[in-house]
Amino acid sequence: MSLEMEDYRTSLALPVSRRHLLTAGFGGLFGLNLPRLLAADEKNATGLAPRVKSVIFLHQWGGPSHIDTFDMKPDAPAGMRGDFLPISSSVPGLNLCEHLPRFSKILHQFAQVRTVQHRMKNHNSAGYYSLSGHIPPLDDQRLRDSQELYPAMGSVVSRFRPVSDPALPTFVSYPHKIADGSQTPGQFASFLGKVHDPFYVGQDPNSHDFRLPELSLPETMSLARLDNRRDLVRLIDEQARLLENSAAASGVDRFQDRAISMLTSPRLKAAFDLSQETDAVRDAYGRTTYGQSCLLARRLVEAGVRFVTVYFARSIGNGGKGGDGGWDTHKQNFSDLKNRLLPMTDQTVPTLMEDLKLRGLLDDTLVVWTGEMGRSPRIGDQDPQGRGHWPMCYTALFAGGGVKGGFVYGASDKTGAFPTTAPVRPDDLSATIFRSLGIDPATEMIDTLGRPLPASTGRSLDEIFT
Amino acid sequence: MTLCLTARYVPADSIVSFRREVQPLLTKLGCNSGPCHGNLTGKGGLKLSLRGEDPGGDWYVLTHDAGGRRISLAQPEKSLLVAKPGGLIAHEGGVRFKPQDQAGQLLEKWIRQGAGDDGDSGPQLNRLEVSPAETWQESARGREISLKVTAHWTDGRQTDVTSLASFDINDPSGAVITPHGDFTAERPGEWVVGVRYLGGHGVSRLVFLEENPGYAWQGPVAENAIDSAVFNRLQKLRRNPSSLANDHIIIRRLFLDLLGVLPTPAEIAAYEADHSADRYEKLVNRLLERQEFAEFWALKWSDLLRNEPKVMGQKGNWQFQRWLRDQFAQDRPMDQFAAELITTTGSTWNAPWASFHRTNRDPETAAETFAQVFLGYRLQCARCHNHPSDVWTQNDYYGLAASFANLRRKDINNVRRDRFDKHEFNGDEVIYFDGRPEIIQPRSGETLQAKPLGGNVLGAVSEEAPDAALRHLADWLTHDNRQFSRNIANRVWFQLMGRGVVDPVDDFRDSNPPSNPELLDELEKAFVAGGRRLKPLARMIVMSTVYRLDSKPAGKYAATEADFGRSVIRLLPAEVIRDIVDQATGFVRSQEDAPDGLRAGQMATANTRGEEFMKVFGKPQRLLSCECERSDETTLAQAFQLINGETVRAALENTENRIGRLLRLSERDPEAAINELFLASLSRRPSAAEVAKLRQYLAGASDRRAAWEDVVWATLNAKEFLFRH
Repeated sequence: MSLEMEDYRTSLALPVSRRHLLTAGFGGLFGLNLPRLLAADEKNATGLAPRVKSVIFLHQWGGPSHIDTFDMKPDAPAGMRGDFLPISSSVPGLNLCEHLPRFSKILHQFAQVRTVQHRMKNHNSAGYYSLSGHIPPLDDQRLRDSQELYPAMGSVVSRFRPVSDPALPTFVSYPHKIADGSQTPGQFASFLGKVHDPFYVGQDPNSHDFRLPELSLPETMSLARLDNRRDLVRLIDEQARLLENSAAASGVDRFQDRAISMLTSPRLKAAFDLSQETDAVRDAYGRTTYGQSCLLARRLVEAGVRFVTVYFARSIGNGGKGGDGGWDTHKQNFSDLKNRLLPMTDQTVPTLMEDLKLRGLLDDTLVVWTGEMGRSPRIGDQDPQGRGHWPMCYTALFAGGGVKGGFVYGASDKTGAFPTTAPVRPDDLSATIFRSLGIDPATEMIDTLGRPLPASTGRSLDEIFT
Repeated sequence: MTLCLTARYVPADSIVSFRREVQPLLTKLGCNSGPCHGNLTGKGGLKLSLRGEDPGGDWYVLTHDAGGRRISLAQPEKSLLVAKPGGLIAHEGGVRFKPQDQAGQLLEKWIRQGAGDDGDSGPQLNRLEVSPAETWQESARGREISLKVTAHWTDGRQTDVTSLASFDINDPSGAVITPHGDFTAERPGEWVVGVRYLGGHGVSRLVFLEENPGYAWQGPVAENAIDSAVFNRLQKLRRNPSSLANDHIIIRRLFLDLLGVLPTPAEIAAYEADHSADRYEKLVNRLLERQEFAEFWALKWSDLLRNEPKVMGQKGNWQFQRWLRDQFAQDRPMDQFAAELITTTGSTWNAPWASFHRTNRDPETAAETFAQVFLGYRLQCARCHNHPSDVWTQNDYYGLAASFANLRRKDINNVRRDRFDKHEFNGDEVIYFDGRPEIIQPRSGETLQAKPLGGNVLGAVSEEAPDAALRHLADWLTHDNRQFSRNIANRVWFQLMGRGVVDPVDDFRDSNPPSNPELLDELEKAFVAGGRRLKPLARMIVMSTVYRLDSKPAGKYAATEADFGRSVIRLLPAEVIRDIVDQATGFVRSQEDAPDGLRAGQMATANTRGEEFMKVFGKPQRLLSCECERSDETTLAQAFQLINGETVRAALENTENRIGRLLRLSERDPEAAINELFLASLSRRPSAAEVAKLRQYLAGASDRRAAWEDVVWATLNAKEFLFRH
């Protein structure tokens, strides 16, 4: 909105043509059907100078304990502060958990937002909030994806800042679709349309035969045979000539071409080919699904993909029994963090940061680390060692392009229960991410009922950028 | 823009009315719109009611909130209300007017006069008149027109409110309108301008005719009233319809539209061999009696009525689908069908048609579904505020919701797969009544009695007749309710023609009028005359000349798809594509939760955990009652599915499929084999060029089976196969 108006103000100083007025916020000026003024819409979307080319969104499903990681409360009462000790970091005066020693050396690359807050206590509602940046209509495990809910952030990016290379997707997500009972909404394009769905990869990058079903032809299908088939389709299409008379039919034709160019172009396939990395690099990231997923994220960003979402785990957690679940530590919070979740994080995330830096990608990439909620200050939940859900205060991390390293935004109270400074909503996190890619958060999208809906109603946290 | 306002400024001495001038002006300027101060949380500390729904509250906010600093009676021009939008002080929402413009002057004058609220005691708006209401203008004579908006007041006065009314163009590409109602089109075409002022609505339909020099009507003969309506309009627009499509295209289209399956090679051959004059009519009559017709409509209504297993249970899901199928098979009058759905309660297993109240689990959702499915109205906006582009108020919304407010549900034997999931219902559910059909309107706090949209309030409901509200609603819906008939007729047209006369089909409102009003009237008439049954109307539509037009545009001055002067080219539904892949390849698919070979079009399930193929081709999850939930978009994922997906490969590589027979046949007679394949998949014979090239391809192959698979694959990937055309 504001951008559009500024443009308009500038235009007043110049000889004003009617067309110029039309594109420069005519609708906004008089409230005339702003939504459908696509011209203004596009202008909004591209009018801000992007801070970065790409975003890596590391989603920590289950709700990581903020108190046992980056916002430690050593002075809190015994039933709250937890088992872990703080250690110092590369930022003087800034502590973090003793089980994140490698992280402590790179903490100066991150800005921390310590006052994220919302009121969704169910994973699916909170998860949707964290993925879309929009408050869910209800706080309920059954919240299901429908066109009444907002799209994933990456889908919004696909709508307003698509990559230009036809052989590359704008938005890639993997290695799971997250779910708590029913599939968590906010992972796909919703009312923006299937065109903006992520290029979703449901395979484990850590498995030895990791490959893309879409990009892998069976052995019986050589590229030459595929070419033959394409020629035969052309022969038949020529007869009916639908392509000339239908945008949809020629759209299908273009997608067929694009799919084949993805199948035949080495670029995307190469990005997914982790075997091109040395064993040393692969080991450094960690031979886990998460580790290799983060390595893949770096390769995708390097290839030019705009928005990469890596889901930490498919399920919220495993009742303290370890395994491959997420951060939902209702039981055995400390042992699960110490033995599994923190070591994995401490191996992978710092490696990703070093690798991005080494390859000169860090300045053009925004790395975001957040879950859908934090965990309760009071210890003792489903067992005496567990922590419960806590959306009232938690921490999100930002690093990369233009981020003020070592900066701490906001503060929580002495037990980590509530913000003592202005709370930040997930809406503000999504606004920050959109703004980084040059998308004005107020940019409007049109839903299936024709309603104009903003990309985000939040405020970009510009303070965390230099 | 601001320049225009200056040019029209005429000073007046009268007292400025807050209610009738200032509030509408703030609406017109967009100040109280959703993205600005009308937002739920306001903007920059100022929160106004959305589109000025609460003038008293807004007056207080503007004059008293923030320490009253928004208004300066001593220096009106320095009031924040004038200075910020006037560009004198930084305003995040930008410059909305210049202080010397009419808008600024009006605000300033109101403040100078004391910034009072004249309250709602004065005359009320009776109606809004927009002139011209409709115009057809020669583009050669210019494409500008000035709209005039007149308010008719309850005291009999009429005032010109053009400069205070808000304008909304349905398609803003290629047209602009100034705040004074001066409309300019950049090209010939049709536009609808919606006009709003003080809760009143009006529209103006503007048609700027193409010149089309030397235009002469050229088209096939009109057979029925549909043809006359379509051709009349084309002549007025100076456009020509396409010619009639050839027999093979028509027969394919007819099978796909009526049944969702392909004609078999034998059926095509029989049609070709029939030389009687009424062979087409005979075919239509036969198809209308086939079971697939009923199944296809059951699929459509399963979508609209959200027949999905999580809420219905697997058993309920299938039962409801079968009940729907049986209604369409016997061609039940749609008014009876609707009334039965609305009024039935009790066990949903004994009476699956009570499931309307199982899937619509609260009065608000039931009201929205009722309006959208049976009337083609999108009422959703009015849940939270009066509808911005339609006449519906929150009272209308909650009055309708009240009809469903005394329904209750009891679950029998609901064994949830996940005990935490409070929203799974897989056992029987009994629908019963408790309490009175009334509801509290959340904004006013008023208790509303059941009242159909625009109907009469239901009187007192006695304890003995708790179903009175639903009966009242069903009576209102089914006794000469024109909107019900128009909506269903439009849906039948949409299903067969690929595009609604009102489009989207569930968005009837003044500012989204039918593209051809005469046509919609004819369809409504035919639907009513046919006893409000689907088959007579469907028969009339497919028997029309218009239905049989080609999708290729006519040469000069060709009609568009929106004119219905040529056949709509549209991606087939997910179920149909999967089924015709199997049909064309002669493949009996084995499947997990249904008998082998059961067509996707016969299944009850929604797209909840089904094949990826169905999902990427847009089968809906049935979480919305909106036609829009079914997607006919084309995507990259579809291309991958077709090139390399499991669903297509299973059909293609199966050793028992048609390809085996084609291989044997092609040894004797390759041309006959190619011919059979084309009839089976594309419903036509191959051209000479196709035969020549395919024979060459097949002859040159080392692996004959593989080469045949390539050729079959090519027919499945042809646009001609994937699209209805």
